[in-house]
Amino acid sequence: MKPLLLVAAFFTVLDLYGQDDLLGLLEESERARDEVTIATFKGTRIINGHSVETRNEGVLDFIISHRFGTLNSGAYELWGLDQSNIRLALEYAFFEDLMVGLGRSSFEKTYDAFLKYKLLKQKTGTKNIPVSAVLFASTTIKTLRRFDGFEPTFIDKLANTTQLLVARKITPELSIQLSPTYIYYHLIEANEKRNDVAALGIGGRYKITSRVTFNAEYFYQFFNKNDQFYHDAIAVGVDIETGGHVFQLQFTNATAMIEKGFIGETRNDFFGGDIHFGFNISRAFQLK
Amino acid sequence: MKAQIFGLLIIPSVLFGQKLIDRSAYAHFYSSTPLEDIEAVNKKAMGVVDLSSGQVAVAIKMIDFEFDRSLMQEHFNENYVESDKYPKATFTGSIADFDSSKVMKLIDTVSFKVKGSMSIHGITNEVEAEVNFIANERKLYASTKFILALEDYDIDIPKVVILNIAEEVEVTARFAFDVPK
Repeated sequence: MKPLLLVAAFFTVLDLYGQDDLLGLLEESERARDEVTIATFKGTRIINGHSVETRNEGVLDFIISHRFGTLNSGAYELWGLDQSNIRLALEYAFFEDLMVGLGRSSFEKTYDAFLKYKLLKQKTGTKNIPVSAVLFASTTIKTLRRFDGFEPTFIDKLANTTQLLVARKITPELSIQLSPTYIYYHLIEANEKRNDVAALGIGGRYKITSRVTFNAEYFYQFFNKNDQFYHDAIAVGVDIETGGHVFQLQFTNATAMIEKGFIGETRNDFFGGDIHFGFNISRAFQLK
Repeated sequence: MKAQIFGLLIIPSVLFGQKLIDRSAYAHFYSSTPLEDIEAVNKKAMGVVDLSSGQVAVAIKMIDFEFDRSLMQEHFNENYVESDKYPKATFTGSIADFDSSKVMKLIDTVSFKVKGSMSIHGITNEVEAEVNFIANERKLYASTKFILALEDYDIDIPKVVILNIAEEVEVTARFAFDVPK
């Protein structure tokens, strides 16, 4: 028995060396390949604005978004909860890098259609790409009736947004995104000065736990339809993820949930207390 | 029968400290509850067996597990196994009573107990599993199946999905090692 034990002990020592070796050997013989960075953000929105995330091929996202009235509307309005703007949307990824969406906002009775195409994917490995980039384009149709006798044509009702979304997942926790934006409005009001808006969005997320992130977002307008009316959109919120759902809860001065609205037509002053509580709920279905 | 004879012929070459590597091994896990079955496949697992000592090692990148539902795959990596922090599952161990000639003799499938340490999600546990070996003139095949408790590896299941994800998952792995001539 004793010699056997000795031999066993001897082999155990050898084992330790051998095992380290074997794992090392596996590591060495690993083939070099690209690793695409996943989950830069949890959802397809940072808060109001789109993130660089697109859904994977065959995924249909049903998104319900709400923005209540402003917090400073007081107890009579239950701090805004009595009023609610809603956007319902279906967003579908036809291909791996291409998704389209159709939505309808109660605010100004506006329909929106967008297209999102992934130009670049952040990756490491044989090829290093430091950022993900997405091209975003949308058209909106405002169908709210006017009561001033002016009859807008179909074209008049349109506003188009183009964005380049560039983001980097800097650490597993921290992601930062820049969103240069250009919006063109086919019709402006008499007291507005120009038809377009140029803005730069900056947003990010910080992962608090594996299922909860803190998000913030700001859209700076270089010029807009009229400085006196429109403020920059600011939003802070959290993403909570449970299985197939992502819940996003936020505080923002923007009423609209579509680009042409929150970037270029936010009338509320965040620091004046005109803040809406709101949420986005996204439910993803794998259709194929 | 022919294969067995070939197998006998290659034993001598195999005995000299041969380390056989499979870079595209197959690993699969399966979780089943009345509400939902979840499974994922990894075709890029790596395994090595040292035929001189009976030592084995396995390294599996978590990110290479493929799910039917892409979102599930993202959640697996982000929320459950945290593959940013713990990119790989590894196993190192040795085959009990290993006898390479027995492995290569291929009269039938030969079954060995493998003991060692498994690391997943930053937690290491001593484990034991049955591994079946079978060989032909070109390949040495190894396969195993065992049950893994998520709790043992500190993988949390949130209460809202407790009915969707089983506490124990069934793991299957298959290796095909090229046998040098």
